[in-house]
This record gives sequence, structure tokens and C-alpha cells, in this order.
Amino acid sequence: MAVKNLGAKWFKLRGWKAFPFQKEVWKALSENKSGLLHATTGSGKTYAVWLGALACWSQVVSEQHSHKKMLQSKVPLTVLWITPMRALSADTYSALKTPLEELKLDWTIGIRTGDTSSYQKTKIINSPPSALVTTPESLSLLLTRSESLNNFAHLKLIVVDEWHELIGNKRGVLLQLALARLRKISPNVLTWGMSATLANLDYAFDVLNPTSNQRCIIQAETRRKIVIDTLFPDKRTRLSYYGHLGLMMLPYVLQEIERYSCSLIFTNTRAQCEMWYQALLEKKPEWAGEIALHHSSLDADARQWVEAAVKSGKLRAVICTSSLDLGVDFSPVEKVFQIGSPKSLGRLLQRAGRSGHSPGKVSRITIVPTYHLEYLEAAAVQLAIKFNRVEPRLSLEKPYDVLVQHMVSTAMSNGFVSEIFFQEVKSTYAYRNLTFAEWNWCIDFLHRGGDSLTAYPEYQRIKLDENNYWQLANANFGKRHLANIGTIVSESQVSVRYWKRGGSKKTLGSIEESFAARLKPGDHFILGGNLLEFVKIYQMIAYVRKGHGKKSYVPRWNGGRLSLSSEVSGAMLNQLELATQAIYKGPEMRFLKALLEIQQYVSAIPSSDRLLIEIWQSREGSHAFLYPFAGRGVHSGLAHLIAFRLATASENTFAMSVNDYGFELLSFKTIDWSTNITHAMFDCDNLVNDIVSSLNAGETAKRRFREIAQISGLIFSNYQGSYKTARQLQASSSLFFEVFSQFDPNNRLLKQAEIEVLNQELEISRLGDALKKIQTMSLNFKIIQHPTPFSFPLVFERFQETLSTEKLTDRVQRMLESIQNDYPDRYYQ
Amino acid sequence: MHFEIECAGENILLLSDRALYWPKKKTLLIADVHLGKAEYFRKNGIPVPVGTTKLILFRLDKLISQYPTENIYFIGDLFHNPDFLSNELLSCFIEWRKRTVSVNCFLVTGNHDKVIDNNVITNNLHILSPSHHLSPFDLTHNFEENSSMFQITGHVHPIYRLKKGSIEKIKFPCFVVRPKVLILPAFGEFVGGYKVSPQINQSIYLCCDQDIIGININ
Repeated sequence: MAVKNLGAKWFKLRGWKAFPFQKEVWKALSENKSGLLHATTGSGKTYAVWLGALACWSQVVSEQHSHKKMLQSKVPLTVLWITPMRALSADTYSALKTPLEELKLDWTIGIRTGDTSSYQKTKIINSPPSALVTTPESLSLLLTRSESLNNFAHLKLIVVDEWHELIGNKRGVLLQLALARLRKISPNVLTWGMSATLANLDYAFDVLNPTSNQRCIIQAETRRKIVIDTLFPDKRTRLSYYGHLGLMMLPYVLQEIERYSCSLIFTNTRAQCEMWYQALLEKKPEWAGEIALHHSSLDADARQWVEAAVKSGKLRAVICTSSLDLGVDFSPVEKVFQIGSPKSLGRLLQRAGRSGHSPGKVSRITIVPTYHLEYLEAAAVQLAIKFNRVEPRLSLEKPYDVLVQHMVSTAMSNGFVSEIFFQEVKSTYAYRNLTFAEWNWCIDFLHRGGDSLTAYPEYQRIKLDENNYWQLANANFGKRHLANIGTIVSESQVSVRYWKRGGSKKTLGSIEESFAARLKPGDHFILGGNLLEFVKIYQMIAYVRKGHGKKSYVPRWNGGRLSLSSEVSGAMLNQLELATQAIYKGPEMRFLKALLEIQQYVSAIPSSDRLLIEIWQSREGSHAFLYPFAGRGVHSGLAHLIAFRLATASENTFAMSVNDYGFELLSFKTIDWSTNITHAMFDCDNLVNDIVSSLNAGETAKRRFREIAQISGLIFSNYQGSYKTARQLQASSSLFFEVFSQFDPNNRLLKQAEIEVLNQELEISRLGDALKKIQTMSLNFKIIQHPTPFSFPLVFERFQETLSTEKLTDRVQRMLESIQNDYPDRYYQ
Repeated sequence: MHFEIECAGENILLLSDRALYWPKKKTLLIADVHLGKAEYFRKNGIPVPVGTTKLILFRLDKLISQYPTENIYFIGDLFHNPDFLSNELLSCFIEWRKRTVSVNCFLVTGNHDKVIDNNVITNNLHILSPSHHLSPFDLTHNFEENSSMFQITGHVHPIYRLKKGSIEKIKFPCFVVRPKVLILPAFGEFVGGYKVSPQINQSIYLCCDQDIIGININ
């Protein structure tokens, strides 16, 4: 029989009091409503939704059987709990399990993620639990098996945890498609999203529940107090003008760590994480065993050990990356450090929330700037938070590569009828504007390789059967597809294992193939805090021994780069505006006073009504630095646009460098910037055309194509079956890009690369706004003799791209002449 | 366009379209065509567009008309996968041979086309051993370490990355000339390449659109 007032009852058992928002959720669920719960971790959101679900659909086990004795629940799969990170799933699992045992309910729970053993995975399909905790990728994998489709027929509730993390990227799109599938299989299933640090809740609800006709949005009132501050070095430390590593701040971070029993130290890259761990260990060898590191390229066992150790209070400090971003409930954590820029308010708040979980405790985060401009950012961030300006997140619009992957997954399970499946896909938010022509292009892509005008003979990934169902054409494609499902695209990963006679199965973690390819036997590198000696690489496995000695490399992983949000950059400009009036508010601005005065003296302080343009002539050529403070994406777009417009007026080649505060153009031919950069250069007319042309003249679209090539199955990073045959089918994405450009220029994947660059990398809508703003500003040209505090970081940032309108031969001649001047002992013809 | 150099006492022309012409013997030397590579991918579920085969044969026709040709030596990997030749590809090849019936075609086998038992091909080409002596050169697909002869080879698909400082980088297929070896660039379409690094006693000739530009590094 069902338990009346299950939630209240269980809370009473635990000695807890239910918050009003929790009662609201329980009520909404009992009224059969879908909803969105806006609550931070540790606020009780999990039990709000879970207990509501149990109240609706669970029963108490009859007296004769204890819960533990039941081998298999007769209750079919009723709740699907989706969490974006593997690190969360174990935690969620324990949290969900507890009330089942204490109230003696008839439900069982399972987990299925990338870390689940194959035995467990089979078990889940053959005898599914009543509730399953899983990730979006694992869900997509489950949906490729027709046997598991049947398991979803009795689904009553889908829970999407940390929805704000998924809504804005391709993982979220894949999830939207998977939800549409589930709603087909179990039409009345409810969906509850849980999100935090989100600005646009109505929108977030609609994307998750596109067919719902009423919105139910519940806000948790509990707001934990958050204390944010900045770490300063003492007066004797020289402030760095560039650098993201930040190790000169280590002594100060150590002082702070000693004041708290447990701290998390967030770094922005994995390499940085490894380096900080080494540096910490070197400075405090007595802390070995009390500190650890955690990032996504470490083996699952290592990660799980760290997570468990933090929870049991064994560790005093953990250095990590975004791998620990999301809500794992680490109650011992008292303090969080953010090394370098957090990039967005949402991220900062989220990370702050990793601390102070116990009731009555305060969340504390300290920003540790790694160079001078990050102090400015730290000031701006704290100001923006005061006004609660968290960033809104928007869903992507109909990406073809994700759709194509989903089509193959569906063809693999039961197959699909085109017209019917089209309607199902169109019911999602991301694909609501998908046209039938675009749909057919995708089908043709899988069936024939392209549209009917460009035939791809002998090619077929899906084929039509006699009942008008599209099915997978060949079982081998299926294996490859399964190994590469998902949208988290990375370079091919190489597993790292100890070299042992008879082989060793234990993996330490993974490194990128490009890094592994450069290693020679005897080279040392660091992974997971271990010093390793490279022995050899064989079939995508790198074998290593314990290393000795000091000199070692830190692997380099290429991750995504988050752009500074406009909320933060806007606040930065405000602070600079005050500085031009000699007003310095707050410890960060006062810290920067001397430096900003130097900037003012040798050049000018960027402001919101005058666009500062610094001009510098060096050995390399003629540089122009511009500071719109609009985030790296927009700056990339601006750099492309201006370079292209200048290069169209007169044949030239430009190199571009960008960061979140400004961008640099380097012209190899002499150019008079002040007469060439006029307001006309920032015209909005023809913006899209010019940017698209600039992309073709540059390299960005080609880079973007890599992700698309992988998601749509042109290239793959996970090898299935014979390594050798798989290798023969591997071609680089740039090779595909070239062959498509030459022989099938209307290919929609190429088009998608273009669109993605426009929307995501160059952030074209923000770009339009930035241009309009610049039209209202005066152009302030300053000639500088040496790099200034603001241009220094750009000078040291590597040039990301070149854009050229020179004839290729001319360009080569120019390069050769210049190289000749640098190396006169070589000669060229 | 071409660049004339001297190797083992013979004048030869390095052609910007990634082939070698020997005027004295009216012979074209071509490596790594990889006909059928795009098809092989398509057959295995990866959509590579059509057009590579036609373009390759068109380029060959053009070379034959520009440079009076009596012989063509393909130095390895003419076919990407000889076990896997579609009718379409074979008929294109037969037609091409009909057009070029006055030209003698030879194939020095490489690693991709080690064994060919297809009649269409064997009827239209002379299949030679993996190493063939065409005085004063040794034609061999892959470079052999201990040889006293001047070798003309392929297999490597050489690409040179021209770098100016660390900022400007452009990649070009190229010819690599050393005292005893000449490595040809890959003639095919949709073929990858491997970077060649600068060395002493090595000259590199970049295939740069219609031009060929020599870089001597001594």
C-alpha cells in the first residue's frame, strides 16, 4: 500500500523539517504536473523530487519480505534520473537509496554510466530496476537497444538534474532528442528539471517540456550566504603581466589552506591542475596523503577514491578542474579557491557552492588572480554578483551533426519511419524549426552520403526495409557508432598503463594522442600526480614505468575555452571608467592603482566611450591592439572582420590574437592604422557575409569542422574491433574539410561548421551589439614604444589565426624573404 | 610550371602538379595515386564525396598533353585497395587507358598494391617488381637504406610546413631531394601527408598552386 504523506513521514523519521518548496514539489507531483525546480545543491532539491515520486508510485513491502531479501523488484522502471556527471551518479544513488531502505519500500535502484561494468549493464537491461540513475550519453546508448526500449514503457517520471549545465550545449540537444523518444514510448511521462544559477527560468522550462501547456516553476527560498574575496600577494611580490599558471601565488594559497580543514582548489585546465599538485607537494611534503588531485583524464578508480576521501574528511586539499563542478555533496569542504578567471558568474557561484554544506555554514570562495588584469575581473565579478546578474543560457538551434547521430541510434534499435520520426524530432525545442528539406538532407546523408545531386555510390549507413522502416545497413557500423556516441568531442585518447610482463589492465588515466605521439622512450611526464617514464605506445595504449629524476613534461589537453560573459565584461568597463576619473573602489582596484596610472601615462585607460587602439611597430611587423572588452568570442569575430575588411581593401596577411579584454592584429606589410581603421570598418552592413568570407580566408571553420566530423561519424576517436582496419579508415578532419570543399561544397555539414563558428565561437549576436556600441564611441589611437600593461597579455598570447588575401606565391615569397633575413646562412631560390 | 634540376647526371623537371618529368626518356614518374581510396571509405560507411577519381585522371590527361609522354611509371600505391575495386572505378580506368593507349604504363608495386590479380589492371599495365632499375635510377616505393643507386621513391607523402617565426605557417606538398634520393609528393586526392623536417644536404621544392618554389638548405 502507498505511504500517505511519505515525504513528511520520512523527514520526521530523520528529524528534519520540510521546507515550503519541498511541500510544493510534492503537491505538484501528486497533481501530475511536470515542473522546474530552481535550487542549489545541498538545499534539499533531491528529496523534494524523489520523495514526491515515491509518494505517487511506490508501495511498502509486505511484512514477510524484508527489502534486502528481494532479489528483483516487480516494480518496472518508473523513474529515470539523469545527471550530467559520472561523479554525481554515485552520490545521487546513495541519496536515493536511503529512504527506500528506511521506509521499506518495494523499489530498487541501479546506476548506468560510462564507469559501469558490462555485467551490470546487461543486468540493467534484462531486469531493470525501478529507478535508474544515468547520464545523457548512457541514455542514448540504452536507446539503441530495442530490448531496453520496452523497459521504458512504464516510465512515469524523468528527472533532469543540473539542467542549466546541459541546456546550452550539444549534450542538451542530444538529451532533448532522447526525451522525445521516451515520450513516444511512455506518452504521459512527467518531466522535472532541477537547475541552479539560471536567469531565464520560463525558457528553461519550455526547452525541457516543449509540449506542455502550463508551466510549473518552483523556487527554493533557501539561499546560503556566500562570501567572495580576492587573494593578494604581499607588496614585495612582482605582479605578473601575463600567465595563467599563477604559481607565484602558491605561498599565499598555502597560508589560506592552513586555516581550513578542507579546501577545493579549482584550476581551469588539467595541465594546470597537475602542475599545482606537484608544486604543492614540493612545498609541503608533509601533506602527502592529505592532498589529492581530480580531473577527467584520470582513471575512474582514482577519481572515485578522491571523491570518497573528501566526503570522509580525509583530505585537507584537492586540486581539481570542472570535473568537480557539479553538486557532489562534499560536506567537509569549507573553502574553495578559484585559480585564474572564473569566466562567468554562474560558474563562480556554482563553485562557491561546493563549500559550506552543513546547516548554518557559509560558502566561501577566494579568487586567485594569475596576472594583473584578472584583479580587474575579480573586482567586476563581485560587483556583478551583488546585482545578481547571472547569465541566461540558450539552447542550440537544430545542429545537424547531433541529429544525424540520433538517427543512426534510432535506426539501430527499432528503426524508424521517416515522416513519423520527423514529427517526433520536430516536437523538441532545438528542432522546432527544422524543415522537411533539412530533414531529408540528413536522411540522404546517411543513406547516400549527400543530396541526390551529389551521388555517393556504394555508400549506405542506413537503408530502407520492406516495411518502410529505416534500419542500420551493416552491423559493423553499429559497433563503431556505439563506441562514439555522445557529443563530448575530444582528441583521440590514449590510455596510460604500467608496463608489466603479461600486460597490465590497470589504467592510470589518459593523455591525448597528439601528446603521446611526441614522446620518446625515456621521456618523463606527470599524470595523476605520478612521475612516469614513457616506455612505448602500442595500439592506442601508452605503457609507462615509475619515473625518476626531475625533468618531466606535463601533458597538454585541449579543452574548450569559455568566453568572458558580457555581464562581467560590462562591470569591468565600469570600473575602468571610474579609474579614468581617479576613483578606485574596493581592494582590487586599489591594488591596481599604480599599474593603471602607468597605463594612463604611456597610453590611456580603456573606457566605454572611447575605444582605445594602441599601435606598435616591432621587428615582426605592425601591431594594432584594440580593447572592446566584449569577451574572447566576440573579439575573435571582430578580429576576423576587421582583418578581412582591411585585407580586401589591399592585399595583405594578418595574424590575430585574442583574449577576453581585447584583440591584436599583426600586419606583415606596413600599414597606416589610423587612416585605415575608421568607423566604417565597424559597420553592421554586410556583417554576416563579410564574416563568412573571412572564415574562408582564415582557418577557424576548418577547426570547427573537427567537432562536427566526429559527432556525425566521419571520423572517430574510439576504435572498435581491429585496430589496424580502424586505422585504415581514419582520415583527418581537415582532409574531409578539403575534400568536401572541393567536391561537395553544398554539404550541410560544411554549412553547419560555418553556422557554429558564427554563433558559438564568434558569438555573432553579441558581435552585432559590439559593433553598434563601437559606432557610438570615438576611436582613441595611441602610439606606444613598448607593450603596455594591457597589450602585454596579447603579445604573449600565441597567435591563433592568420587571414590572408595575398596570392599564395606572393605570400610564400614574402615569407621566404623574411626568413632569409633572419637566417642569412641559409639560401633560398 | 616546372623546376629543372639535375639528378645522377640526368636533367629532370619537377612539376607543380606533383609529378616528375624526364625529358630525355619522355617519361612521367608519379607516386601514391591511391585510386579508390574515397570509395573504400564509402563502402565502410563514411561518406567521402565523388569526384576524386575523375579529377586524378583529368590531371593525368593534362600532364600527358603538356609534356610529350611515351611512358608513365607509377611508383607504388596506384590503387588504394586492389581487392576492392568497384566496376565504376575499373571502367573509368579502362576508358583512360583507351585514351592513352599510345603511352606505356608501368607499376612498381607499393605496400597498398602489393598483390594484384585483377585482369583489368594487369591487361592495362606492366606490373614490375617492388624495385625497378631504370638507369641510372632505382625506382622503389619505399626508400631502401643500403643502396648505392640514386633512388626515386614515394610512400612518404611529404609535406613541408613553411614557418615564419611562430606566427605564419602554411603546408605544401613537396619534392625532397637528397644526394642519393628523390622523394615524390603524393599525386592523389584525399591523401594525408607527413611533415618533412629541414636537414642538411636536402633541398625541398614546394608545390604551390601553379608554381614550384625551391628551398635549399645547406
